[in-house]
Amino acid sequence: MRFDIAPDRAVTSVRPITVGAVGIIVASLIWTAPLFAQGPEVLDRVLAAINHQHVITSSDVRRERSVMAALGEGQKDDPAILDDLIGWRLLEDQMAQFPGLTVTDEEVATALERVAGPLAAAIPDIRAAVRDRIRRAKYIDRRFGQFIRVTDEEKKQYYRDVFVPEAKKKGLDPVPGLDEPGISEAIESNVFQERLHNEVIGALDALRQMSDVEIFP
Amino acid sequence: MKVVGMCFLMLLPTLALAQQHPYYGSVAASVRLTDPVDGSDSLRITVHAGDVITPENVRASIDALYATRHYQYIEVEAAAEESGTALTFRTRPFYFFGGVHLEPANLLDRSLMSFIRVPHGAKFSTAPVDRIEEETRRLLENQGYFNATLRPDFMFDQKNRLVNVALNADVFPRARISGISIEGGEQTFSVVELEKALGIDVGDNFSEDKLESGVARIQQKFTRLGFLNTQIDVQRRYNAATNSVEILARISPGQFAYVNVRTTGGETVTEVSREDLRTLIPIFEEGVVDSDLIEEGKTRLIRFLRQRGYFDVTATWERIDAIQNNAVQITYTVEKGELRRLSEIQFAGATFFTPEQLRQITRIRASGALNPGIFSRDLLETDLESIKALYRNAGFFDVSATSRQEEDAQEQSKSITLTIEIHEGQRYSIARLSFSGVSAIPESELRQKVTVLEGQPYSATDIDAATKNLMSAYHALGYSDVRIFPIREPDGAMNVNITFQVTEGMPYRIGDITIAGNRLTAEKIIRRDSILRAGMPYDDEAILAEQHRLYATGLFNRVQIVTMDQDLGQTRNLMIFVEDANPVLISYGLGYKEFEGPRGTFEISHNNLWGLDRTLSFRLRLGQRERSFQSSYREPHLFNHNIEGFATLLIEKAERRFFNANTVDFSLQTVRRLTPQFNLILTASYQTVNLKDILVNPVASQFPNIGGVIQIARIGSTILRDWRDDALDPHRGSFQTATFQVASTKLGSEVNFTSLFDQWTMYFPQGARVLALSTRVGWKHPFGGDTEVPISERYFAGGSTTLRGFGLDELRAGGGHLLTIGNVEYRVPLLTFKSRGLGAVIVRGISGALFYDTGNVFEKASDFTLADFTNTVGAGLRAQTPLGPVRLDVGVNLRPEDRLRNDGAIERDKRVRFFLTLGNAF
Repeated sequence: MRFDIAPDRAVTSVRPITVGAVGIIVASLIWTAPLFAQGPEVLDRVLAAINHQHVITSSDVRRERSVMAALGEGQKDDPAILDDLIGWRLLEDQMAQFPGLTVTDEEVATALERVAGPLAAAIPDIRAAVRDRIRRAKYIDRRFGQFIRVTDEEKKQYYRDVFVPEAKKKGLDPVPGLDEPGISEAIESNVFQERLHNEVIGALDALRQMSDVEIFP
Repeated sequence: MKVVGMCFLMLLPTLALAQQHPYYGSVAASVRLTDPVDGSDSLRITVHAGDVITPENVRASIDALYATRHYQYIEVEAAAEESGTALTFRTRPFYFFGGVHLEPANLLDRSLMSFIRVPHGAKFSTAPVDRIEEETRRLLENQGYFNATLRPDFMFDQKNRLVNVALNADVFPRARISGISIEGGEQTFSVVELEKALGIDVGDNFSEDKLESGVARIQQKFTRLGFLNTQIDVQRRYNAATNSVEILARISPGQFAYVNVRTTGGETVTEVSREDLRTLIPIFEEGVVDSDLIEEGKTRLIRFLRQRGYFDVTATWERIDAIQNNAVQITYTVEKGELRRLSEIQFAGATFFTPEQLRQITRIRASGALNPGIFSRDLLETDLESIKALYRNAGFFDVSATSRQEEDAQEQSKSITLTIEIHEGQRYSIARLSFSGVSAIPESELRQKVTVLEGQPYSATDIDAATKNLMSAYHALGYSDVRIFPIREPDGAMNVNITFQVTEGMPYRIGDITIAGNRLTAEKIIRRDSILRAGMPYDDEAILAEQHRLYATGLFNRVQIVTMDQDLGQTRNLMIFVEDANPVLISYGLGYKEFEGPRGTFEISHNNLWGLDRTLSFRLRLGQRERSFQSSYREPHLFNHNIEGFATLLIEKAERRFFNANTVDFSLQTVRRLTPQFNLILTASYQTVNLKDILVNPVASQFPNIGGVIQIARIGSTILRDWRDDALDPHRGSFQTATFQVASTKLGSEVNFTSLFDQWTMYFPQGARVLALSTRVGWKHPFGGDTEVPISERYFAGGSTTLRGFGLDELRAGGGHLLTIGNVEYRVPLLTFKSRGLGAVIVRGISGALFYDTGNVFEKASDFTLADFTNTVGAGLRAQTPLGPVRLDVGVNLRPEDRLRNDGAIERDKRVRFFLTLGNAF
């Protein structure tokens, strides 16, 4: 056997062999699939057109789904991914007019290290996707985030309306006070994120209304 | 771990393509593009036969094809072949927006496209349709059609690649108002008053327009009382079960503002009325009270009083807030100073422009007998600047203008003489005229287009005109993006150089011209006289002219010529989008005609028969003394020539002053428009007239009392020139007709005569006033043994449109062979109504007129003598209405005579005659 494994390591050694074998089989199947293919099939197609200038295709959605999986961003169905891609495309047009949104290789490397393993980081699609995400985050921060100021009143309201009921639901007794260490900062961060989210959603809605987005079912 | 790593590395390429299609990685055996719009489109595909198919090269190919802007949708299909994979790029070309219409169309007052913006000629996509659908739903709701279901039907015009959208509406009947409640504001107005102002009753059909008008009326009521920024929140509660709407209006009266103006001594300033305050103090207009607006009010108040002779007026203001009552009082305290009159304005040193020309551009005015004049320092400064600008435009760049006031202390009224001293300086001339950036048109040709010459005095107006001419020259060649800036540079003493800086851009040509939207009118009618042709330069001015031409046909409610959203290099395809007007027109009316009395008219016409611009009309007129039926048919292009043809049948039974006639007349007429103002008309007619009850006293006239049936066949021609600015109410221009006709037994007529009739009317504007002059001469001459013409062919005079010192046709019993009429009328506008009320729509203004009429009817041409001319002077009032002026004239016969009536009695002419009629006298 090529893979001569010591008995005491047998249990742990079987797994890589199995994974490797399955991988080889899957890869072979993928590479040779066209040989078994029958009849014409749609390889790629336009799913959406934006302002008669840009298109989003089914391969874009597939790629995005892979990237999300690689970056551990959870799962979404195709219409939701398409919706995200349309929104990003609309934002992209805005970003093109916004100065200073450069992303360095170091920033990409640091982010990849945090969200993906070194192997995933080697895939160009993933590197490009991470670069795009950083650029979008920078834009959102400069366009919206830097103008958001969370007031004490907002913090109090969030504490009263969200934090306390949630804490009680979780059985916290007594409920930590707003002035306790870390609470105020956490609430401020939540309120900030909430407002930022609303700003971005609002801007995207406005962009969509001004744009000609056609979806091809 | 090495094994895992190795497996992962093996999978790496496929991981990158995770969930991608298995055809990726295979070799393309063939690559095909279906239905290419352009033959070169397939060259844009970046994956070729023999290449390995990857997501990247397929995706890049889609992008490349999409970038051609030829395709709306692209799909890439793969199929296994023996030698590899066959790739097929399937495409759907772009379609373009045609029109949108609502079914049924009568749910809205006007066509849907007059309410919403339709992107005619733009690339079609469903996104704008969603917007249009939403807007239509709102429009329907505004009309009371709530919960309407709209279903768009897309009609693809394969030939022109257009998509026309029909919005099929499924609606309930119009919702009715089930209840109206008004809350708030009761302390100021009773609920009854507010409901009356709202103008809507329970049971009415819901209409958003009516509701908004009512709310605006309530707001006005509060604003008039001084309540600023009154808020009215209107809720419309639709009840689907009863298909009714309940209206709830909540009124929050705004801040009460009281503004008064008083002198430092506490007296009221009577020169400023409450109405003046409303327009002068901007808080009423803006609906809010703040310091800036109060200060602005002060400035306006000072200007107002200065214009009324208080040249040294000053003002201050004070604001007192009564917070508890939500009220504010603003008091302006003014120090008026002495009242003076601007008795005279003199222009010293002006030689190039006359004082009259300078007065036309200045706003200050010397006082008159009834007015104090207009003067303020601000206005004077503005006027000095206007004078300098006028001179600079004419090339006097070194001009200066100052003012000097001289008070006449002798006079009690403290009058001022204002002298505007103008130092014109020397006029600059154009030393050199040059062009930069020109290549499409030779400079020598451009020089011919400009109206200015080197050595000629400089004039900004001339330079503007020259620039316009140059623009037109470039537009005519298709340079629609051309930009031309005249640059002026000094050149030594008293000279300037003018350089026309031209950025030509690219020349464009018209490609295909697509006609769309015509559901009734045939395409050939739209194309027939079009000045736009495929291959001609893309000329914006020609496109605009074509749009006007199509509107002028009256066949369309809407005409839009748009450039199709296609990238075709220097070719631009056009779409002429039209919306047919309703071809069936029903009109009726009641009228009154002197002698004949009241009469009614009913007319029905089809103005676009078979979509070919042909007209068929029927008119019925019934009166106490007249019954007539007329049918006419119009062929716009007789035998495919640019000649209009008319066939008319008239059946009439009429009682005239001196005879009764039953007439059947059939006429054929051709009209050739030689220019828009110059028409040549040829006529042939056959008439059977039964003349009865001829009431001509043989003593009064030599006309033989011949009745019975007479056949009259005639041919004739008319030259018609019309240069009037407005046919209904002309202010300038002229109108001229010359008609010659022959009735002869050789044509089948029982009588022989020639007929000549000339009319020449001229209108001279005198500012807003108009001097109108008219002459009319008619002469009928029997021949071929005949000595008379039938009475129905004789000329008569007297009445509201001829000689206003006489009743209709009563000037000469039995008429005559020769008619001569001259009129002079001086029309003066008296009042103009500018408000938006219904009254102002019906009557736009009142004008007065002074007139003089002269002329007579003579039995024979040889009887003509100026000594027999009648003379009438008079005055009148005209109410301007959309149908033309309603006219009341009083004519005074300056020389009443004893006149033999047709019954043999002798009666003296009445000295004064009154006429009430529609339309100008001439």
